[in-house]
Amino acid sequence: MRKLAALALLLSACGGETPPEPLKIPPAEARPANIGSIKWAPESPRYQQMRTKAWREGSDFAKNVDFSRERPSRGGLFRGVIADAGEIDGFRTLKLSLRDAQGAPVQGARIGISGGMPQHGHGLPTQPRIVAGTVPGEYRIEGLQFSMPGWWELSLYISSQRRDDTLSFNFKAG
Amino acid sequence: MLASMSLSRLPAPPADPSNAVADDPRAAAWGAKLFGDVRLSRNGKLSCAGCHQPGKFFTDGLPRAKGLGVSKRHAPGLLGVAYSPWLFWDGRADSLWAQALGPLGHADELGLSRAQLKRIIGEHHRAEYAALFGAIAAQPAERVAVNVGKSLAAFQRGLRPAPARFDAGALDERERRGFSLFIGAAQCSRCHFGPLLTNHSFHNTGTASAADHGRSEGLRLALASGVNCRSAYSDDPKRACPKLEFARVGAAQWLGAFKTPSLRNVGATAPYLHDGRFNTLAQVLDHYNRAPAADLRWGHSELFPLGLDKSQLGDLERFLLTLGP
Repeated sequence: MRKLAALALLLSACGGETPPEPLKIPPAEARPANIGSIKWAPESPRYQQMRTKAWREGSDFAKNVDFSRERPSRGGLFRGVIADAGEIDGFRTLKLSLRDAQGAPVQGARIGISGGMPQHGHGLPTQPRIVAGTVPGEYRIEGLQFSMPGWWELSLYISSQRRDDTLSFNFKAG
Repeated sequence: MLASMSLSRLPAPPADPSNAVADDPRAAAWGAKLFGDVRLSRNGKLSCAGCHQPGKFFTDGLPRAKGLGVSKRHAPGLLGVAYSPWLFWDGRADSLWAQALGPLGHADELGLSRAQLKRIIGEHHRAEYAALFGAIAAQPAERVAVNVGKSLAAFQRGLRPAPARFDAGALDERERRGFSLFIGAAQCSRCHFGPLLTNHSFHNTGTASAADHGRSEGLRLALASGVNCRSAYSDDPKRACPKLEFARVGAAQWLGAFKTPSLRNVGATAPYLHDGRFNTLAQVLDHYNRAPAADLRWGHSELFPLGLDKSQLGDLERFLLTLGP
C-alpha cells in the first residue's frame, strides 16, 4: 500500500514533457493505400507481386509521385510540413509540423512511422524515433537513414484526440 | 554517376570514438604484426592473414574460410573495411575491434580462449602491449583481448583499395555498355554505389537457407554482444551508440539478408556471395538476371528477373573487371 502511494506521489511530481508513446503500426494488409491507390508495404507479398509485375510490364507507378514538403493526411484530419533538421552522428533528423484541419497545432499526438523504397520493395534500414519538439505541433523524427539513392516513402500513422489518420511524404535521396 | 564512384571521392575513414587507439600509428604497426602472427591460434599455425591474404586482396580464394575447421562463410575482403558500419556478412559486430574477437576465439577459425590469448600476448608481445595499454599481468583476459582487437582494427583502418582501371576512366566500348547497364537496366548501382560500390546495408537477394539467416540473426547478436558500443569496453566518453539506438529490430526484411560487399577487385576475388557458392562472375550475373524463386521461409528476395541477354551479361562482366587491376 505504501509502495503504491509512493509511486503515485512520484508520478504526480513528474512535470515536463514526456515523449508521446509511439503508435503501433497496423499490419501491412490492413493499412490504407499510401501511393495513389496502391497499398505499399515492404513486408506485403501482394505488394511484391505487384512490383514485379509492374517492372515486367514496364509500367511506372512512380510517375506521379508527390514530393511536396507540405501535404494533407489521407483522411483530411491533419496537415503536415516536413523539413530537414540536420544530422546526429550520421543519422538524419526531420522536423514535422503538424496542424489540424482548422490550422491549430496538434500537440501530444502519438505517431508511428513506417516506410522504405517502393521501387525496390524494401523498408527502412533503421527504426527512427519520434520525439516532441520544442514548439507545440512540432515533432522530430530522429535516426533516419536513406541508405541508397532513389525514391523513399515515409508513412506517419497519427493518432490525436482519439482520431487516426495517415500522412505520407516522399523523398528523393541523391 | 561515374564521378561519384571514383576512388578519389573516398573520404578519410570515419572516426571510431569507441577505439582510443584507432588512429594511433604505434597500434597500427603492432596490429600489422599481430595480423600475420601464427602464434595467435590454438595450433600455432594460423593467423588472420591465413584467410585474409594480403596478396589476394585480403581474401583467400576459397568458397568457405578454412581455419582449424571449415567456416560456414566465405572470407570477406578487407580493403576499405574501415568504412563498414557493421562487420561480418550478417553485421553481428558493430565495430572493427569487436569483429576481431570473433575469429580469434572461434573453434573453426583461430580457436583461442581468452586466457590463452592473454598468455601468448604476455609471452611474445609484452613490451608492445605495455607501451600501448600498460602492464598486462593484472589485466583481465577480456580486456587484453579487446585491446588486441583495437590494435588489429588500427591496422585494418589503413587498408584501402588501389585505384582501378575504372578510376582512370579508360573503358572500352563493351565496358562502357556494361557500365550503362550497371547503373541502368541491371539495377546494380541501387546497392553497389559510391567509391567502394556498396551501400553498407543488408539485402535479401534470394541466397539464404535454413543454415544461415543472415542479418536477422546478426542484428540480434550485435545488440546482445558483450563487446558492442554499449559495453564498458567502448572508449567513447559520450557513449553515443546511434547504430544500436536506431537499429530496426525484428524487421522482416532482415531475414535472409546479407551485407552488400564492395565490388572493388571483384574480378580477382572469387568465389562469390556469403557462402562462396559461385565460382565465376558469370554465375553471379546469371543469378541476378534470372532471380530464381527463393524459399520464402528465408525471407523475401528483392530481386526480380532482369531479362538481359547473353551479350548484355557479357558487357556487364567486362565492366566489373575494370574495378580491379
